[in-house]
Amino acid sequence: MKKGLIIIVALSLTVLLAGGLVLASNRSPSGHPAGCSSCHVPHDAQGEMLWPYAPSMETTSGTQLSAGSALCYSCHDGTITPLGATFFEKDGSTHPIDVVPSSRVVIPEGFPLDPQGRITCASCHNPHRTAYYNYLRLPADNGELCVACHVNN
Amino acid sequence: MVVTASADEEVLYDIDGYVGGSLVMVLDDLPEGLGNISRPWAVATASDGRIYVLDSKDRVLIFSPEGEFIKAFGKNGRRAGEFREASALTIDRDDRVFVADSGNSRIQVFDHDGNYLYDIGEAPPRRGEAGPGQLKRVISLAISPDDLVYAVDIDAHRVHVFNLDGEFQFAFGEKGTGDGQLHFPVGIGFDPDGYVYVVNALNFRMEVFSPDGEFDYKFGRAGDTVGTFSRPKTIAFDLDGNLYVTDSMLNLIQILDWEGEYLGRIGGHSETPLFSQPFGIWIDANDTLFVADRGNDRIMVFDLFALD
Repeated sequence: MKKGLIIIVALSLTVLLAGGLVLASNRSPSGHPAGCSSCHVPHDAQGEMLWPYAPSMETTSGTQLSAGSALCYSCHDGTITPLGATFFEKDGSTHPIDVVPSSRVVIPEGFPLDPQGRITCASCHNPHRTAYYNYLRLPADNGELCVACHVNN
Repeated sequence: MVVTASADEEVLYDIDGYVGGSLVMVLDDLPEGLGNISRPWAVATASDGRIYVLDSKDRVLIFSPEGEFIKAFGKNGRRAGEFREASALTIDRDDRVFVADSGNSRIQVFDHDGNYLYDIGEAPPRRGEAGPGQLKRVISLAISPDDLVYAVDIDAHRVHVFNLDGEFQFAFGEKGTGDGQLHFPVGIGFDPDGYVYVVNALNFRMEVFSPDGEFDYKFGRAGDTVGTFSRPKTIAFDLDGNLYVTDSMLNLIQILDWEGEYLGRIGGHSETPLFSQPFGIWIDANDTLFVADRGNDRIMVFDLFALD
């Protein structure tokens, strides 16, 4: 009886966890709650990847923004969403953005850099589909995300 | 500095032959001890020409018409006269200053000198849906020609309307993509006939309502070419009824007519854009345009003029 109960609880937890992951990765067809068209322009787009043209822009600290980061900041600047209200001033939240990684860092496959080889918001966040909190490409718990690049640290 | 450019040179200021302007003033400096203007949200002027700037340090900065700093009021907090994530400001015809104190779910009203007068709006319930008149996150404020306070609630995808005494009147808008539905509304303004224009930011269009909140028509689509929107944010009308729309992705202000036909732009495509994430704008009774150039921590002021 006790063994049966344990199995039922374990099965329930598995279903709940799997369900949670599915829900987390399917918030909208695009994966991002704002939808495809919030970032991609279907006709006449002048930027990369059907993004709107991004004029060159510097943060308050003088960092030249990549087109992808400028796209993120156009909502995540405290206006469309309060998430990221101060990222623009800080050149990122907890990690620098739009910088070329140092030679001590190994960028694994699946962590894209921009055409100039810079780390952008999208290097660590996948705005389309992810099972992890905050659209991270790996879970941040226990430093798993960090050590994916900072191998010796 | 003259705010025009020939067609073949780098476009810092582009007018497409319709509206021009001269850059007459830049506000970017504060007295010692106050730091800099920090990521300004909004700018408005009083009847005597005084300039009021709401910045991201939860304070209102008052300048003379000539740009001399006069005083500041407000700080971060929950008490009367204090703000949390304040993000919009407007001024009525009696020079009362309305501040959207978004984090405290209220609109605070001050006199011309920054003395607290009263609050508008209710906080939403801790659980459940916010109702009309209950403020989730007000991102823009405007006073209509018939003296009503319109508050754009971006998180509720709704516009709340109050009278000047703070009594709730009506609300309109709901989340969606259909006619009259809103998807992250931001800016709001009134044309000379009193029609209400709402920037439907992530529907990439302008939604136009009658003065009593009935949907009338819409225009605009997503894009980065003239007359289209990428990240449209706030609006203002000039004395001729032309519409000025900030776009914080394209870093420009587009000038459109009442049907959305493109007339021109200020800023935009350039190696060194004039603006960085422009947000709040204001046009005064003399056709002077004030722009909260948020990413550059400054207010830019232009005298507008018609071109032949």
